[in-house]
Amino acid sequence: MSDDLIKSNPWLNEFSPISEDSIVLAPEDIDRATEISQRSRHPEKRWQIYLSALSLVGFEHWLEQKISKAKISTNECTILEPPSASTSTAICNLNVNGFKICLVEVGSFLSETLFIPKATIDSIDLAAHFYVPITVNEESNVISIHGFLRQDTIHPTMLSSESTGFYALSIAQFDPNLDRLLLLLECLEPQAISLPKKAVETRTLDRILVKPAVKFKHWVQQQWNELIEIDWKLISSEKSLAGAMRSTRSDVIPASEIDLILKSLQQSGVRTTNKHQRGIGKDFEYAGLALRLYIVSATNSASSPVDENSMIFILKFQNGENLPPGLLFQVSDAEKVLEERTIESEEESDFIYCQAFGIPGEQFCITLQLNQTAALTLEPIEL
Amino acid sequence: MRSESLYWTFAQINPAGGHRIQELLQAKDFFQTQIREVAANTEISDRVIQAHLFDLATAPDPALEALLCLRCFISHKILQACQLLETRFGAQHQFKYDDLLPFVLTDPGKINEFAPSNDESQLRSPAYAYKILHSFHPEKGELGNWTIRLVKDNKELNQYLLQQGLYRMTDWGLLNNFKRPQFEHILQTFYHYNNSQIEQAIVLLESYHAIYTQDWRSSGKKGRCPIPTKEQLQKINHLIQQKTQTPLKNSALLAQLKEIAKLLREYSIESKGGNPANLSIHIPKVAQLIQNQQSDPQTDDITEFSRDYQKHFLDVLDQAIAEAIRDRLNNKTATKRDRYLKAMRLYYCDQVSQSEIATQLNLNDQSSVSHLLDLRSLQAQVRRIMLKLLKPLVRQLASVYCNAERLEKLDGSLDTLLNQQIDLLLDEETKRAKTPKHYGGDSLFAERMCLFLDQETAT
Repeated sequence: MSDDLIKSNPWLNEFSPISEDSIVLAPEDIDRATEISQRSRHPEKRWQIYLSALSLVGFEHWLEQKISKAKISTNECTILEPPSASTSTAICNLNVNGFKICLVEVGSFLSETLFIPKATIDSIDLAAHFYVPITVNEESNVISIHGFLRQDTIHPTMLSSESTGFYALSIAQFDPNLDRLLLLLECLEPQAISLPKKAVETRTLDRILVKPAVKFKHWVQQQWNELIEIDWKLISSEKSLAGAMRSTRSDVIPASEIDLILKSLQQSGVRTTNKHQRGIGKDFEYAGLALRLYIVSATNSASSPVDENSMIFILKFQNGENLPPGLLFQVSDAEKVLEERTIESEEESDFIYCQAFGIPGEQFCITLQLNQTAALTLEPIEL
Repeated sequence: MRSESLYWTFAQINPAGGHRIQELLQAKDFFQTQIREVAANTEISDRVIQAHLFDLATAPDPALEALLCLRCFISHKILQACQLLETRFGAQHQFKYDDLLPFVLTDPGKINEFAPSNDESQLRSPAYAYKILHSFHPEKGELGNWTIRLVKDNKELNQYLLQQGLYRMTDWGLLNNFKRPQFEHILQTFYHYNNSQIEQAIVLLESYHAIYTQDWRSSGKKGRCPIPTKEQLQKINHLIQQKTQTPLKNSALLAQLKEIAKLLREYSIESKGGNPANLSIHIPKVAQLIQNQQSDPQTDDITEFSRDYQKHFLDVLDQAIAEAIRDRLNNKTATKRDRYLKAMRLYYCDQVSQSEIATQLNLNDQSSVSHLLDLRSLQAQVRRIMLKLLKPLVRQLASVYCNAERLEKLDGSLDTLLNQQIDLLLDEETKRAKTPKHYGGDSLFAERMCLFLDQETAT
């Protein structure tokens, strides 16, 4: 019946059944995906990033439905910049109950051969316990999950590199039984699946953190809890630390270090606030470097008091050594790069800074790049 | 042969269900007197008749009867489109064609309650036929095809179908998710395109993708992707020319894009047949797994444990059942909750077949009951919760949680165990203590589930 029916009415083929493991996305999911895609510095690649971000928000919903108390963390989660506007990308380091998951958005329909960015399998910091292919239908906002692949079942012979930058994997290699994925996620110990330990030569891709934006008002209003949740610490002077009985808290950074830096900035003519320093900081790693980033509010004119519409971003080593030459530090908004600085020589400086001005609600992204290493874009800072 | 009555009978929703066809005398008289000469010649296509009627209906002194004839025709095409959707998808997705009619068959069919006008407010008129006619250009195509196109584009209809588990993907939506390696691979291995054909197709797709998705993204629009505009086609053409130096006509460009979309769509439908993801429902993987490990020491681990510590084991099972069911109830509205519990009781306590449950609960068929109960996923969840609860309780099982294969086997053993008859597992004393009343369930899982449902519905 169906064959003749379709032959004379091919339009019926435009409709497809939603598979069992599909999620229909809500408007707020779409907003979140849009916001994530804006973080890319390459406007032509934002569409593919958006599709990938849809796969992430959909997968999170699916997990929440299936596992009532799943511990999902996007703190380390990054989205890779696709190599071109017409190739797929991946979400790496999504953490679920201690497992690393890599989501690969494979297109609007499933094909027998799936193309997965090589870096997600080869690179030590991107390799995942489970690889999950997801199809995205943007028109209907439906995402579907199509099985999974365990890291320790990947055999080198499975990986053919038909296309530059991608491994071609047969769908048959993936376990279609998602109940099994849930079983492993919920009951298995993460160390039971080993991750690769040896570095393999790989063409890595620029990465963008998918964490939600850090909101300026949270630190101005000293909303500690919101900051701790997203890994940032509040800068606090010794005095206010003692006064507020917060000296034992590990969620603050003493102001002594930043005070010195700000003093030297003031001497070179940058306007900053002296009193009641409002700022945050965090330690993180990039390209094997242990870095610290400070963000402080600044004044942009002599007459105005603390100007909430301006921020200074300061990057340094956690141990205070000089930054390596070739390190690029960049601040951009959704449209363009606003400021960019590079360490030129060995003895240049132990810190690097950029300043940005904007209106409340505006988001800024900070990107780091060391020579030819893949760049890292941190979660945006919202004014 | 052409059915002339389509132009003077009107398809309408029957408030009692289904539809009814009404003969409209005004339309019939008009058609038979005015169009007779044209219509008498059976060689003449519907298109010519429609163009003729359209001319009469839009003349400076419009003939409302001509319009009525066209409206009759549209009503039949709408009906047909809805019936086709039911034939193709209705059974699996639980809808009938008359569930769809209210979205699109909104023309009252009265000659005076409907008049052509260029007034924009009329566009929001409930009569969908008006929208169809308003946008119709007889020189570009046939009214039937145009009607079907606008029916499938109807937003509310698409929304309803989505609720029923059907999503729509237009050619443009499909091409928007352009993944070069994937498309290349399909054209090469499935359609045996040679290198230069592939190259040509990729230039076309990349140019389309660059222009269309950029516009679509920056427009901020959501939902159905419209056919590319003339301006977009020109821009796409411009990009193609830069790469190939061969200009294309806009219509040829559009046709080529549609052709590629058609190929990809056919591939996606075709490949689904052999796609293991779709087979997973039918192949009882777990059963297979159990067969492979009948004499496995792991199986003995759990069987021994369940014998030695029957009380623990039953407690864990009961706890897991309670948690899994409450989890499911949490996500449901009150009415859905009641229906779910009722269906579960019928299935587990009264051992009613799924098709009988469908009748009792007024559901379409057995497959909707199976969807409602979702037993496979429920049992999998219960086992997962049990395994989590057993972990701290059973020291001898500790190492299993550090090995994916052993954990999967243990899960399989648990599945076997839960589906075994309770008599084989429990001694008489425990049975009496734990099972105060005899339950008809034929497995341990069914017995305990029934017990839980009884307590749950009693409170």
